[in-house]
Amino acid sequence: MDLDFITKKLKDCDYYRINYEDTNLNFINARNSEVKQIKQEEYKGVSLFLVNKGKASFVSTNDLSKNNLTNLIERAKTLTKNGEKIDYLDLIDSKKVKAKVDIGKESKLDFETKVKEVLKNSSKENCNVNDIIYKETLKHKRILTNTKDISQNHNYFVLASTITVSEKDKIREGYQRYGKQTNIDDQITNLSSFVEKTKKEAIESLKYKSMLKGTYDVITHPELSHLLAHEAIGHACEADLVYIKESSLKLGKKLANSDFNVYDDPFVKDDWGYLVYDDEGNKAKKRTLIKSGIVNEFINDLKHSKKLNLIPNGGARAESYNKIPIPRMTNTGVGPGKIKKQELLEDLKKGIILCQGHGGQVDPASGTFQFGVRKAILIDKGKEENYVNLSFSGNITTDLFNIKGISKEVESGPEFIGVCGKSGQQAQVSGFGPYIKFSGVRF
Amino acid sequence: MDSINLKADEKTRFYLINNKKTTLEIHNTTQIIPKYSNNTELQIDLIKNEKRARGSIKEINEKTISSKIKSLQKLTTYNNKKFFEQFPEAVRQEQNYKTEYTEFDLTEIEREFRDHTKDLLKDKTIKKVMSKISQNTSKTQLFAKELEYGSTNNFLSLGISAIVNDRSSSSHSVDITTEKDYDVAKLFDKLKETIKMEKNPESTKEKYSEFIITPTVFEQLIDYFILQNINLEDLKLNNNYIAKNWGKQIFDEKLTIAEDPFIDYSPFSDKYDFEFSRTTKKEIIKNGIAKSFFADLADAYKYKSRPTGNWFFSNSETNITVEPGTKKLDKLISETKKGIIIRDIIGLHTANKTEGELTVPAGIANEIVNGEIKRNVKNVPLVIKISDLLNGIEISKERNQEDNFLLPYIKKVI
Repeated sequence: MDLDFITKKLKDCDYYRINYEDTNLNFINARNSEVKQIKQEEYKGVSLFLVNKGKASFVSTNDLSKNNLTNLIERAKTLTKNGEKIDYLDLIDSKKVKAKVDIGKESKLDFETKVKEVLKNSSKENCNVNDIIYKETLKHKRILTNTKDISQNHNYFVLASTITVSEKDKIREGYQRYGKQTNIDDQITNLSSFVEKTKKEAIESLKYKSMLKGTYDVITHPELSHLLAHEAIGHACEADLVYIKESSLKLGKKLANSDFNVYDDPFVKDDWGYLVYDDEGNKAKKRTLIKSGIVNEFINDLKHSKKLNLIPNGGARAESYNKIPIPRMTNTGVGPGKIKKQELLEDLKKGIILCQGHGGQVDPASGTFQFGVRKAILIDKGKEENYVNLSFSGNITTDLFNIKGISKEVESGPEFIGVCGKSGQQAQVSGFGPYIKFSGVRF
Repeated sequence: MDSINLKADEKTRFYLINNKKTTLEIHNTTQIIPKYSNNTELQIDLIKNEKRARGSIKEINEKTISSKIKSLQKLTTYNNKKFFEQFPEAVRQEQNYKTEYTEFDLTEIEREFRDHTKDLLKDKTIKKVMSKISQNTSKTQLFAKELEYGSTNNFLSLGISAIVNDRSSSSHSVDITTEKDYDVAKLFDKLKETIKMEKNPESTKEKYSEFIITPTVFEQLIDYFILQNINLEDLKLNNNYIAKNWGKQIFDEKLTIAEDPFIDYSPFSDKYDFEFSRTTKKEIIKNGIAKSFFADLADAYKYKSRPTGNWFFSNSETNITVEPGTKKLDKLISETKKGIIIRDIIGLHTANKTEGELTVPAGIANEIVNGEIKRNVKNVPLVIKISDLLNGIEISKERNQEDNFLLPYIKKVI
């Protein structure tokens, strides 16, 4: 698309940022040998963030006709008259940058093959294969400012399966997800074992109990530890929430003992959180959010870097061209501790191992965090009992002091992915983590 | 968008949607970036050889439409799910839905919000007040064989939230269409009341046996545990606790949950869904028994049933109402020995929907001791089956409008 047509009309303005996006989506969803939905879509759109006489506005459209874009630019200029006062233009690097980044590789398989594979594997005996979902989102982004011209291509792939089995009053669900920012053709051609694993998990869970109550010592599996890093720490370290005082965290605040470190690292190749430039056109940086138990760094966009007197660290992400970029996580997790995983597990005489996560939520101001647990093992006097569907909740400012050990081993992978929702915007994220032991968790 | 002549027939339908939105935001009394968006989308729904494909385009002209139709026809060849040979005849409605809209002056509204905000900020425990004012215009045109139906949905969204000491935003919002419903003072009064009820919550290890659920929380519970479990195919596959107990007493016989798509001036009312199926008034739960389901055209065809008029790009409800009870909320509170009013639930999306198990904590609650609210508490674990929570209940006389839900308070004694 010819974006010069727009930039020519913005020469008199203090600053502009054009976010153009062209997205191709391929989506296959099958249930019990039947196609539930197939989609092949292309979306295009553009937004304009404009600063004129020190005030800003934001406009967007998917109608890319010259006539509409001309009207849109005029509307943007009009809106700036009563717009937000902008005081952070001095933080923008005036150096000219032109860059093109390709993240991940496109699929080599044709669409028909993928449909066939998904359909073929969407039926299993003695269970309901509710969903086999394959989705590829190929997103071409272009960010154009007074000084920058950044093209960044993302290739998000995900495969998910949901299977339910039932026995009397029990209805149990097996669920698996596998996602990368590069093609997952090898998984598509080996879909049968992926689905079989989901079924096995669902069937096994029929034997498990649910509705556990009480207070226990707990060890979180790395998959849960990364959720903890994301929900409990990551959100509270987003600079916009800190600025509006919706986060209870302050730089320098001690949250945990000295072996607790949390990072947000956008540079892990193939992970869902991987990116080089943020949506304001700035180079992303690795962020050490918690260093030796102390709040060390926030995730910043330009606006909140200025407001909080911080150095920008390229942390602004937008769900799509039509949303204003805000501070968001990428690939977040807890760093390694000092104890061997085996020692940590053997030390748990009475307690629960939380094995598989199921999303979560945080109230950053009060510090209350929660996340769902699909599977847990209750250990008592050498006996093991499996549970499903628990909820782990606590408070950032108090409960992280109850961490009694962190394993040396850190795990990550295509299963450690999620779609994070914040301020009405979704973002692909990923994570990593060790095994962590907590004392006195209430269920 | 160029002027396009959309020719629908028995095998091709179109849905043209245009949304325009202007948003003003204020944080305390500071203006945040004003936003404007203008988006158009054309949905195409077609049948070829008794197979269906749907898709959308956003760049709309003769060439892109023709190209999309071709690619959708190709998609039908991958589809193994049988559908109608041609679309069922769309029901003709002579009149569009009754709407009325007042043109509001956003700058004037913004000024009023600023005045109320200044007043609110006199309370020094309030850290931040955030307001959002949006003018929305949504035009939908549906094209089927020998039928064109257009509806315009104009509404003003007003939202406010406040961050108080140690507590995330207490918030309220309302969507209105006419001046008679415009009352910013009332919205701020509601917020002040909520702030009071959610202020300075304390951690607790107490155990409670009586629970009062606010309409806000009740809305979330109905949506998650009931409405998301009544798709016809899930019921046929016996996929959840409602399916397993269809026709049986699941909830208290005092509980009746109804859907009414015909409430005047509600932005959620509609005569058609997006498959041209007529929307219907129905009792989803009648006296505690599940009675109605959501079925789109595909499921109606597959299971030889009828479409229920709930397809709005996914199955969802229009307006939901729950019949009120006879006791006033004050009475329900005064009769409580030791319990909580649950004002907020954290992480409901992680609870076990299929078996109907509520295992997530109340983020914030009011503790009641001997009939009086004593303090606000936070993070109270809740572990109970939804069918147990909604049995043996009392229902308040008062009802609150929460989005498209008109709901009472519910009291449960364990």
